[in-house]
Amino acid sequence: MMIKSRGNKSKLISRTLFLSTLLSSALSLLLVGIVFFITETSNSEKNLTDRLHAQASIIAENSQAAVSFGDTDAARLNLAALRNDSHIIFSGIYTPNDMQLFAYYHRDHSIKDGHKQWLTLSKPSGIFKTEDILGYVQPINLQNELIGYVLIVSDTNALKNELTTYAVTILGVFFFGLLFSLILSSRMTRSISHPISYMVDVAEHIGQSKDYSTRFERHFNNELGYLSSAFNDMLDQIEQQSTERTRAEQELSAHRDNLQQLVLEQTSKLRLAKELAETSSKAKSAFLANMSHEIRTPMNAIIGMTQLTLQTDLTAKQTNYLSKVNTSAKWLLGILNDILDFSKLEAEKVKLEHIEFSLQSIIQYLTDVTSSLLKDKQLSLTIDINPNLPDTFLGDPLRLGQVLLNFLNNAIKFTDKGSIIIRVEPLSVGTVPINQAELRFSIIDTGIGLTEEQQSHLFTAFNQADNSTTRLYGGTGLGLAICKQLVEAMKGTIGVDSHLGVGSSFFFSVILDKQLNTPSITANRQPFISSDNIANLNGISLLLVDDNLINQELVQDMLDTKGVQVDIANNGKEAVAMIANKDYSIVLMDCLMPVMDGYQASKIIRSNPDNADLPIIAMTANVMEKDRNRCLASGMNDHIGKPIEWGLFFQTLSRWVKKPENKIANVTKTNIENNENWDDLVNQLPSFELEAIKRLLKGNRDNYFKLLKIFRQQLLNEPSLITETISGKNLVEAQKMLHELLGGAANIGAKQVHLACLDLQTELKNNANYLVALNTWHASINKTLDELTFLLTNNTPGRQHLDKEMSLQPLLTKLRGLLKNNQFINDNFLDQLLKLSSGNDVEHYALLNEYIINSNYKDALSILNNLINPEMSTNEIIPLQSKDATILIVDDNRINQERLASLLSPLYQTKIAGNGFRALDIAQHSPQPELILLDITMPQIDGYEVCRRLKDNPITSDIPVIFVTAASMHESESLGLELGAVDYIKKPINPDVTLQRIKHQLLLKQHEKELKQIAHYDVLTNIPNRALLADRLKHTIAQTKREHKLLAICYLDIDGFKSINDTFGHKTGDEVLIKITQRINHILRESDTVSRLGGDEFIILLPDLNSGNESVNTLNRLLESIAQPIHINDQICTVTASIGISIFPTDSSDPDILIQNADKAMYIAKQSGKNCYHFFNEND
Amino acid sequence: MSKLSTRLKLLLCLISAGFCLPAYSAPPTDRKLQITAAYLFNFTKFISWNQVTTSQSENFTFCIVDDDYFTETLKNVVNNRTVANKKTQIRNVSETDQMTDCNLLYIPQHSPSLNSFYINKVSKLQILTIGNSTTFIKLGGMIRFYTKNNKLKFEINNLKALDVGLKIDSQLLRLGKGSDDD
Repeated sequence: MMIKSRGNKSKLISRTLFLSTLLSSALSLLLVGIVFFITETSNSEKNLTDRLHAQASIIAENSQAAVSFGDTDAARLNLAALRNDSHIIFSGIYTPNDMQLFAYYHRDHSIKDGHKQWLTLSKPSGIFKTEDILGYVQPINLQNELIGYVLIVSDTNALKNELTTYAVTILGVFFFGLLFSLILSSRMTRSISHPISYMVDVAEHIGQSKDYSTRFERHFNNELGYLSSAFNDMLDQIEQQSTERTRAEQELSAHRDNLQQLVLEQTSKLRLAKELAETSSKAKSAFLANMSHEIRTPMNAIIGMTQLTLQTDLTAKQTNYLSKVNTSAKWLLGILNDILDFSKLEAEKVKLEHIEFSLQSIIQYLTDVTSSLLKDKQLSLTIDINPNLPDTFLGDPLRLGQVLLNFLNNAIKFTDKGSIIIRVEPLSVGTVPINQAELRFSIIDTGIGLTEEQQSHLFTAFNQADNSTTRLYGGTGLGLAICKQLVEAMKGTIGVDSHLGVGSSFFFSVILDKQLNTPSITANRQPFISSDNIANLNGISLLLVDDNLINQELVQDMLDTKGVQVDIANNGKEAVAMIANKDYSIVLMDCLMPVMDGYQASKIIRSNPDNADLPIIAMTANVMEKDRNRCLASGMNDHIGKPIEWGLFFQTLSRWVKKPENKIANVTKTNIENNENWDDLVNQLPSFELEAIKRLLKGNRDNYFKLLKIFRQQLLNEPSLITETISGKNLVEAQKMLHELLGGAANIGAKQVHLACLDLQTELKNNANYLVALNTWHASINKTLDELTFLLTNNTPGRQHLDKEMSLQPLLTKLRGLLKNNQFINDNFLDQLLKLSSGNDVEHYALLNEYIINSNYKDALSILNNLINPEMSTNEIIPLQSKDATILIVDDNRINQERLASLLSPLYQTKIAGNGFRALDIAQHSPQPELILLDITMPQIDGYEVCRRLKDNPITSDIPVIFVTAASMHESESLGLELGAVDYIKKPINPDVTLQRIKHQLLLKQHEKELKQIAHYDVLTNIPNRALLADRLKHTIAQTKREHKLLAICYLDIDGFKSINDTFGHKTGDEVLIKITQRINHILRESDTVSRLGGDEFIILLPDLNSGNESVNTLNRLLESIAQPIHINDQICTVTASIGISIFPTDSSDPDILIQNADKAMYIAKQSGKNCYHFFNEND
Repeated sequence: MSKLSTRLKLLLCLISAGFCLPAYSAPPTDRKLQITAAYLFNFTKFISWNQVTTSQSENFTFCIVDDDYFTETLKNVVNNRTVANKKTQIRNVSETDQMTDCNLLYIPQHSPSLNSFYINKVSKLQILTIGNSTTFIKLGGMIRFYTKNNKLKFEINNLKALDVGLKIDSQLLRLGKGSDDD
């Protein structure tokens, strides 16, 4: 056991004890001495006085006779008796009136002459005193008559000598006593200070060496002995806990290391699983699509050919056989349809449409389809639609029709005689909002009916009423199961009501949205509701587009019978050419064709405004949802599924065929033909198709301008809302909004917008990768918007200059905002800028343009500031909405910047930098980018160097870097990764892959951050914990050193925290800690740090001080704030804090010692009464 | 000249006679008489007459033998002061007077026969006898005045005083111890 000297502080107790004993005894002795001395002095004087008085009295008494009889001798004799008192130097008797000396005595001769003055000092009687003598005058009275005075004078020298001796004695006693007590007290203190010293040494040793196995070995027979054994017990516990703790810490760090690995593994596993699922799903869909097509095509041929043959001259036998073939084929088709439908529903979830439809048209469709069946069986069909119902609703007409058709088919199948009713009625049961209606559709028949048993199993898959019915009536049993699924997908209820032998009622009820607004006019989308008139087809010219020869023959022959003139195109390309040359009444377009498919062809056809009202009917084997929609999206009007159901086929044709006198609805008929010249508009609005609208408006420019203004406003507001909706993943809503927008665009001739919206709608439905389409859409919108803006501000030549100026300023302001934010400036913007620049500043604008193209934003901004007219500038709105992460794109090539920026900007905030220096600059400043895409080949410093520097700088070293470059050598790839980049993307970039990688890296970064947070931050209070503190402290010290300032390290301990825990429980204790932390945080500055060491101990770093005193204000506020009562759950508790402060570099340069010192200072603060602070002082 | 000198002599005689004539003009030993009177009074302060203190009589009487002048002097000196809280009375006595009320008898004359007469007359009474005769004490007197070094002194015969019940303070006795022989 080493005992080392630790300086003066270690002797504190013994010195205090020693000094206190010494001091107390010294003081007592002094006091006693002084008191006695003073008493003695006054006593001795009094004694003397008394004595003189007595003597004088006696003399007076005895001298009465002598004085009365003038006997001086006798008197003298009396006085001479005073010789016995050696102190008396003179005595005299005086006659009363004239004070003549009657008789006297004097000790020695020298003093005699003073008697007169003594007498004057004291008339008429009593004591008198000078420095040397003390005297008394006593009157001599004889029977109340004053006959003389006696004077006695004594010297005081002897008195003084006596006192001096006395004082000296006392002093001697004092010092002696002091010495004695000195010895005694030092003896006693030693018996206390040695054990304490020992204990302090041991404790310090344990504290420094952290060797918790040491114990106090010496034992003392007093309270210190208890203390040391208590310490030993504590050390036992600490030792135990410390070993546990080290073990726990090791586990934690191992786990932390593992975690990252686990995350990576997990992520890749998830990715694989996802890819697998997607692949399988795609495979399934593909299979179904394939199967659907494969099966239906031959079926179509079979049925079609059979029907055609039936229409030729046949023998009765042939007719019979072929009819049976036809029936069987239809039956087979039905079964196949069911199976495919069912599988389809299983493979991909039902996606319901939400479009306008007409109730009437569905019913019409039903009747059309089943008319022949009904006729065959001689059943009557009644339609009962409640007249109070509106006709138009929003929903999925196809699915509704499907269910109803199924019901109807079943009804027809199972009814031999009687009638069938189709009923649509509103339900007012329950509460539906005003914009919705609950409808009940029922098919009521007088058929064979069903038993209870049969009813209960009805809607389950693969179930027939019973097997006998299968044989009798046929069918797969899938139909009703499908219906149930569909109805339930529409959030409706399905059911049956039946009585055996009487009839059945199959019903379902759904809630549909009512169409409240007046329907907007779309370009000839709605089919006109007209009664079926197949006769109308006679003489019309039809273009059939199909690559399949059989189909060609089939359809042509069929149409021939109706008198339709048919032209054939083998693929889309031919179709486009033929349409250009000839006016057709209707086009039948197969979708899947080589060279150019039906969708493309339709798009192209539609792009020509002349063809706006040309009906294009799609023919396709794909009857899946998305295919149908795709057809519509490409500009086709309707869709016929293969194999072709001819009744429906002709209905559809006659519905859509363009009648010569067809006009677009809602055209205002004016007789005035305005031949205003629209050529300049054509030039200025290249993304518009104006011919149709010109015709529509009869060339009225003013009207058009009014409409354009309105449309422009729409274009300003709508796209951002739509983009937001898309980022919010609400694709269905977005499609609806797009629908509205494209309607308006189509109305006004904004062809590009119109088409872009259609494309985007389609891609949104595909759902997987709409990002590219979104960008294109944005671009189209912006282009159109720019054209409109330009046009509308320049529509009067006279005001052109002023208007230019008016529209220029906001543009410049916008540009400034973009530049400041390091955004990518697209070509469109730059073109506009150049267009708007006027004569004087043209050079400036050209220069500005050049700077921007070279990504020299600094110089661009300085020119820009000169050009902006402060009076006219508007607010700098940065029109992008907030996104998750900021990505910095570093590339010197503008085209590459654009590519990446446009790819990323829907999802992320992007910034661009044209060179490495700029990139480093942007990366360092807040807000820092979350990811950096780094090109390698750049002038001045290349990508590798930039990466090196990024990693070297602690501010930016955490940002993940992805290299993007065309360099193909492997070694450059490994070099990049060596430098610390996380990934490497080769050019030309694959957009999807790039996005995925970026997403992945950002996610990794996010996880890493969270991990760090956990490791470095205290869970309860969310402030740095001990691990992070050490780090912070080092950094702060380094920074303070650089700036030549001071740093205060404050060790804050909560007083009385343990009692809070004991009294109120640990939960409250935790709340208290959280509240205290909040209060501390509230007071501290941005640059200060508070961290929790554990328990109720905090360490606060106050950097950037010029002197220790600067922190006093903060300390006082901290103490005050912490001492405020804390309210938790109706309880009020109060704690205080004790703070110890040590200063860097004043007290030490070593962080550990600084903390130690602060701890010591805190301890002193606690000793000083708590709720105070104490600066660390070496002398303490 | 003879007429002037004669007149001067006559004037001087007249003046001196004038000085001599007033009834109570002081002789050259006036001072001595004053002192004697003072002594007489002072004696009373150091001597106790039990008859005086206990008796019914209101007065303390000084009796002077045949000396009006001294009697007056004594009266002036005493000046109505009290002796033993009794009023003082001073009177002149002669041979034929009653002296039973006297407390103190002073015989200024030197004649022994006179002194003897008066001493015997009052010897049975408690009267303090004071005289000037040289044989006063022998004749049975109590206090005798004598002059030594120009100072008035006195001699006391305490036995005689005790005989008549007079108590004399030791202080006084000490003063009266000496005689003109010392």
